[in-house]
Amino acid sequence: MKKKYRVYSTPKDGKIDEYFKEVDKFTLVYPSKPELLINDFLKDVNKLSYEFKEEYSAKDIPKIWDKAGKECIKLCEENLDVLSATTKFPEEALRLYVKNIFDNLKEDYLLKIVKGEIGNLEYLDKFAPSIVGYAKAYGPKYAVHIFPETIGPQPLSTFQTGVIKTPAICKPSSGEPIFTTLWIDSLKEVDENIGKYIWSVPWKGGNEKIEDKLFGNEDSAIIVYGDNITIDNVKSKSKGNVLEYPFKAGIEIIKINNSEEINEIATKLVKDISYMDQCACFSPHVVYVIGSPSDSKKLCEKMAKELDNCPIKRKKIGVDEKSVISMLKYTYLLEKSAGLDVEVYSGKDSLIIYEEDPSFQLSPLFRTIRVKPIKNIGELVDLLYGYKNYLQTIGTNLKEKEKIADFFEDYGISRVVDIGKMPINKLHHHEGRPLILPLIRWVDVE
Amino acid sequence: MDNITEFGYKTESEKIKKLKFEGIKNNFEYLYNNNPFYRRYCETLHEYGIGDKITPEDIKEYEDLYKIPLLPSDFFKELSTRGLENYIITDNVKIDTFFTTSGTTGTATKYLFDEESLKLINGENIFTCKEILNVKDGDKIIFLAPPPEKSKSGLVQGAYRMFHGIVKDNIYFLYEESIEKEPSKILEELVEKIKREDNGKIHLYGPPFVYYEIAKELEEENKIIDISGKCMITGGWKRWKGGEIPREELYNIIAERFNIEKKDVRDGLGLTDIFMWCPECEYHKKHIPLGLHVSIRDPENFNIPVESGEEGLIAFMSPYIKSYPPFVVTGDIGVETTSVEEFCECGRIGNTIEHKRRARGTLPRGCALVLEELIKRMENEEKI
Repeated sequence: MKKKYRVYSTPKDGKIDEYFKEVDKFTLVYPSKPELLINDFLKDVNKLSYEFKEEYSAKDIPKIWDKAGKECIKLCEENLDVLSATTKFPEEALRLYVKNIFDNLKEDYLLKIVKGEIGNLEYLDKFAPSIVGYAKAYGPKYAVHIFPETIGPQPLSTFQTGVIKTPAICKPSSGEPIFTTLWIDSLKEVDENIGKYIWSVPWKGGNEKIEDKLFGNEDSAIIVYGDNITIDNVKSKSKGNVLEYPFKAGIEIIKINNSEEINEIATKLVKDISYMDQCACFSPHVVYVIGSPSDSKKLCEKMAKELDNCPIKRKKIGVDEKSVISMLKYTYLLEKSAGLDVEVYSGKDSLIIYEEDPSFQLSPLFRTIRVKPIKNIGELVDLLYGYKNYLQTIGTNLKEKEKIADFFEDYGISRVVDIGKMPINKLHHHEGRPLILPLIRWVDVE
Repeated sequence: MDNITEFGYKTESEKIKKLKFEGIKNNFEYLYNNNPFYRRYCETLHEYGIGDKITPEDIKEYEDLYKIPLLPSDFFKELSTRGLENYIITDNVKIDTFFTTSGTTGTATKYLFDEESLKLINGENIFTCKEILNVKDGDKIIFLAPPPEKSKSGLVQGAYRMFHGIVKDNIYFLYEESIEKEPSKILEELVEKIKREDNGKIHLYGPPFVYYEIAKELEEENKIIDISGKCMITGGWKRWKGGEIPREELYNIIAERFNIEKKDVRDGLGLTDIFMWCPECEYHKKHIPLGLHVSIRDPENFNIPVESGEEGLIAFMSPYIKSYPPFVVTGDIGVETTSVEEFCECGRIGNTIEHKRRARGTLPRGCALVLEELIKRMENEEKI
């Protein structure tokens, strides 16, 4: 018999109609009528909003999230098989990603984020002294989290609304609902009562019965991760505050000073490329090399070897992804036949393309990367500007990271990090924005 | 190759396979020997460890056709973007004309042809149209698309040549002159005018979005246009706005509003890179023209066909085109629904395929999208 996993979470008692979806050797259990659960939430939302504020103070939340993080690492470890089936990542990769997600979900760090943004946590509980008298920060009546297929944002996203004590509905991705469920189960394991205020309800995006009601309240907030279509859809229906985290891409800018450095640089680049197989917002899509074409090609060769020997295997990909990558490979081989200066380094589960054309192109992901030589950073000025809505992280081995940040100040870049450190370890300003401030409204009593 | 009209869709599988094998093998040999670019590509693939080194001598039997190196269709787009279409032209072939496909993602993709290749393509297109769609001399065709003078799109040009080969000048265009009125009104008047002159069958031909718009207008006004022929659909099902057109809904509404049976609503899969199409039979199965080799390939190794019913990339090879290598793997996912050894429910020999979707991760493209833009532009010009 297949092992069953309930992929929704609600504090409601009583019978809920369910349907089942088979994923490999697992049965995922979904609510048949998610609109009924949403109706229940909306019916009680005033009460939930009031009680959440009454029962918790802001400083309780970082403590609970910290403990839940530790619990979730254990839960994920116990459920790696199903998590691997839904995320398609191999278990050894998931172990690494889960550890990284929770490594910095620590009470003191979370407190620092909130204090850094609003100064005093007490503003979230009551009127506290301010420069004009007293002030209090109010959150929305309720929040909706729309999560992507990639695991990662759930803990911090729910913290954003948790610390302002706003009841929330989480909508997990239909393809990967397990991580969200495990996270909410972890919170409930640490504090059973918190489950009253954080529900998880999967529904098919676009369901008007749900979205017209849920998104149609002016006092709500929606935190949405996803592609532009998903985000535009949500924005077109939403009357409340929308905090969007759209599809993003990273680039690497490296300088090869001498060929002895190539091995070390290649190892670090491969670390960035293989992490989540480029499915994350910080992942690199193009490596720009300040150096000679021959050094760039040597770097490609070394990266190809490193990727072939990478201890963490690539996630399982479907017909579509395989097709897009193969089409790209064959197109470049044709260009090679046509005499263009391109090289193709095709590994078992990776594709590296060297080409002289420095234009930026998005990667089809899954360990597919273009490597392009440039003479200096100045060359990127025109090439990258058109992609400013996509760009997020720059990985570099150049020492002047601040100068790079200044150089690209109008390009939508929000992180400049060392190569090999593109995966987000400590998140502070997500997409260049604070985490809590966009969700609150201040009232001053003078 | 043998004249296609010596065969038919009732011919047994072995003869059809022989026809395909000889046609494709001969064309591969011709292009390998006369198209230096293609020959270099065959060698490059081998250098990069993709399959054995393939020469015409290696193509000895039908199964060997899968070894023929395929060009990804994206490459044609890349060439057009860089203005390098001439680069892949075969030595000593005189280019007479060009057709285009979509320009939805920028530059339209351009395909250069010699008249001899076009004649051969058209020969089989006419044959397929007669055999599968039963279009006859004396019938009338209304294009729900701009006339060939206004569009170099293969969807318009290829179809015009094909229908002209059957019905001669009995071809009309919905978007020929004025688009001041609603399209359904123009069509209604055009059908009435044709009927006053003659009583032959009237067939419609056009992209899904035009059918959808017209049928919806007719539905709103509770009107029916009696055409007595077939409604032939071609082009993509995606729209600029409003997502994908619902297939079943469109079939039903077309049948209802043009007073025909649903089996006479026929979609066709355009093989844009080789300017042929696979029209549906009365069971809505898309039939591969007899001379072509169309198959579903393993997305990671194009030399391997996937099992019937399994998803893979649609690949096609033409025996007709000499001007460029017509051995193409598309970015479209499909399944084979009837093998080349089997007969379809309609009694015609396979193979048949079903187009599933554009591989996710690529940009949208398709002739219908371009036509939609062109028609909108024409409408705006009228308004100005």
